[in-house]
Amino acid sequence: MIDSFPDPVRQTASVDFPTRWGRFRMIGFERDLPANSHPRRESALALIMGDVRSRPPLVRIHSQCLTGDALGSLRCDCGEQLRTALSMIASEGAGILIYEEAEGRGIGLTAKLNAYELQDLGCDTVEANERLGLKVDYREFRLPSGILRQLGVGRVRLLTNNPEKVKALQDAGIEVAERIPCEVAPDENAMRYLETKKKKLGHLLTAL
Amino acid sequence: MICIAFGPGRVFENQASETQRFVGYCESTSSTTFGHAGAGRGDTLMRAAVSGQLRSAAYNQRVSDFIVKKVAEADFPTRWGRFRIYGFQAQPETEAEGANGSLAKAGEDAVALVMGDVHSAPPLVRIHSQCLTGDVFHSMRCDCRQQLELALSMIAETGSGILLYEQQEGRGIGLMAKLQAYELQDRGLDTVEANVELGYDNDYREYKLPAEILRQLGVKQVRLISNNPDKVAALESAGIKVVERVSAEVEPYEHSENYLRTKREKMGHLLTDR
Repeated sequence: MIDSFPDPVRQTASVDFPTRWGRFRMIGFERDLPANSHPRRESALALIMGDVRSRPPLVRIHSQCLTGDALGSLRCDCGEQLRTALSMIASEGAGILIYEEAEGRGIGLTAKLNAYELQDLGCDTVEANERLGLKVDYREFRLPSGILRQLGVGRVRLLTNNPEKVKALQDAGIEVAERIPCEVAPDENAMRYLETKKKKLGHLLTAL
Repeated sequence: MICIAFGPGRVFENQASETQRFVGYCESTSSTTFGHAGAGRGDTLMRAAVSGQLRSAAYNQRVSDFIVKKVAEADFPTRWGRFRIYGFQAQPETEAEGANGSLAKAGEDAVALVMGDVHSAPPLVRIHSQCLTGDVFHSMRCDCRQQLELALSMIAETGSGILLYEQQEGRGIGLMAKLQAYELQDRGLDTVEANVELGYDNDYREYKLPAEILRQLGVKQVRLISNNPDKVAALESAGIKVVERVSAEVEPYEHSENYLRTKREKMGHLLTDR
């Protein structure tokens, strides 16, 4: 797919955004997807703090996980990773958090709950998706890399355990000057999930 | 999805006339989560589209018959305690997926978190409309996150209750539109004025999916955690008895004072005058 002619990433709004971690600028972005796809458009938010130009900023690309991010789920480490990233950005006084609409690694909330049902019967994350006829990960991180380009950020210090994210950014021409682990203390409820991330998805986890 | 102007609630008005049963064409996506700018302005367009297309029986049939289905159920341990999580979807009754598959996907999702026994006495119930900025990022522009935490804590302390999380970001206008409204608020408009300026209503929610979910969970009487009289009225008119309204008032942030004043003065929310 030709990624960016014309550059499909649009800014929708830029607003003041005071949070419990400090004050950010929040910018909404969206991008049209090919005509035959559902959804037809994807959106993302960028939370920006401080000076992100004079040196490679801390960047976290966080894919939406409603259950973890908003509802305090202990089935996964998403919520804790999000809060860790925001804390790190706040304590450095600068950085970018991109929140992309890719619930359940792109399968959507309903399918994720279907997968949870199968996981309750003994499947791991990968097996559950396979049983549902889904890939384990649909993300390509095109919108996040487009957003970084629009923000004029060509080099980043990426907060992630996921080698695929590093690769996706580099493929999109964003240099990852450093990978900074985004590892959180594992909750017992999330052990199998994290082990699967490590063994089957190659995430760089050390605390297991 | 941006099925807002006519609201997913229309879905449940089975006794209504053919005209009213129309669900409104959405330039739909299967993603209900973020929503897109244009829903409100689209209102006019949608009304226009409706007047043109409503008489098309085939079209009407394809979008009028929705049913609410429980699509998944799982164990849900959280930092507030252990719930069951249920996924609910408003789906077309007939599989209308065809050349225009988007129509069939013009449904709406919601999740229900259920703790303990919710049948032997009217349970605590919170109907929480998604606010990504508040719920996820703990925004201090609004009280949404504080209310979500309050409700989950109250349910956990009681040991039973239901939290319904419906995907009605920004009272139904969608996330990108909410951000545009924030831009106007940064220039001095209040919540209501900003929506009007953008061509939106202030609130598109009808709470019909939540009411139907409560029915499907076998709950006919509730103790509703809410400051919003519209929610009480919506449940009552859907046949769910609100035996008690439990206040969901939280301590305002400096940044949320104007937002809360507007809720109190222009939207009739039951908040203390500070």
